[in-house]
Amino acid sequence: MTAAPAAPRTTLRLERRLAASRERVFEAWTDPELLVRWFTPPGGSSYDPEVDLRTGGDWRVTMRRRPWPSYEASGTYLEVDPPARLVYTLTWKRAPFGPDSLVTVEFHEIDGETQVVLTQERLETARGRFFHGRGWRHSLDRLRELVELA
Amino acid sequence: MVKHLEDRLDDTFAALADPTRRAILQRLAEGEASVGEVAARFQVSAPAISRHLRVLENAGLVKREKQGRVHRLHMERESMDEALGWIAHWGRFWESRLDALEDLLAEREREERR
Repeated sequence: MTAAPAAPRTTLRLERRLAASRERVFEAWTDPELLVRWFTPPGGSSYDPEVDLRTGGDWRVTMRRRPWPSYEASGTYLEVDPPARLVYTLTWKRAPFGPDSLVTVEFHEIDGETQVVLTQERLETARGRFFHGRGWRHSLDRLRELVELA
Repeated sequence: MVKHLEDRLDDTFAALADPTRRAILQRLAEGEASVGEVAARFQVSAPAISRHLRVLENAGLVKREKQGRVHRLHMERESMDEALGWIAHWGRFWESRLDALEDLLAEREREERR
């Protein structure tokens, strides 16, 4: 066991060290065309991105994993501080991943690389915790492939 | 001849699987109308509108009453209610499966914390 303080049960925390600059990782997180290349469901794809990157601006992505119908992830940016920090709400439509949650992403620079610290709060259901844990692990692997390309 | 539920659902969903027919239903949901009034709304030939109306009538979604030379059309509830019942059944089915999934995952979390 690690000595890290126990996170509340409704919080998910993931970290990834990526061999790319903070600017590049932040851009991948906020440029609509780059976002849909990694923020995808396992075994599926994302499309029709909309990003209004400012505090109070909305974002939206449609996802699909055939043969299932499409569903939608959307939310509002609460903090936009490039390339260090991003806070936004996450709402699912037509998908059973639980009620709205809050995502905070910190991009720390370490020796020219980026430590991504992702915290998702208000995961009130076991279903939400399960699907998001699985989804983020998949997405962050894809993000690595995207940003570590030379 | 009495159609069985499965056949009626086939007819209803097939009738609904067309944007013009859904738009005709939308129009009739606002109130009954003559065939001419319905046809005037769409950039489609009169024979095409007639074909669409036959499909809707065959599915029991639309009923036609002749008042002299004017044919009045109105929406019928029963077929739509059957289709909605079928969809609601699956809605409840998935809800119950998701509830079961929630219970299973919550139990697994409790075990992992022990």
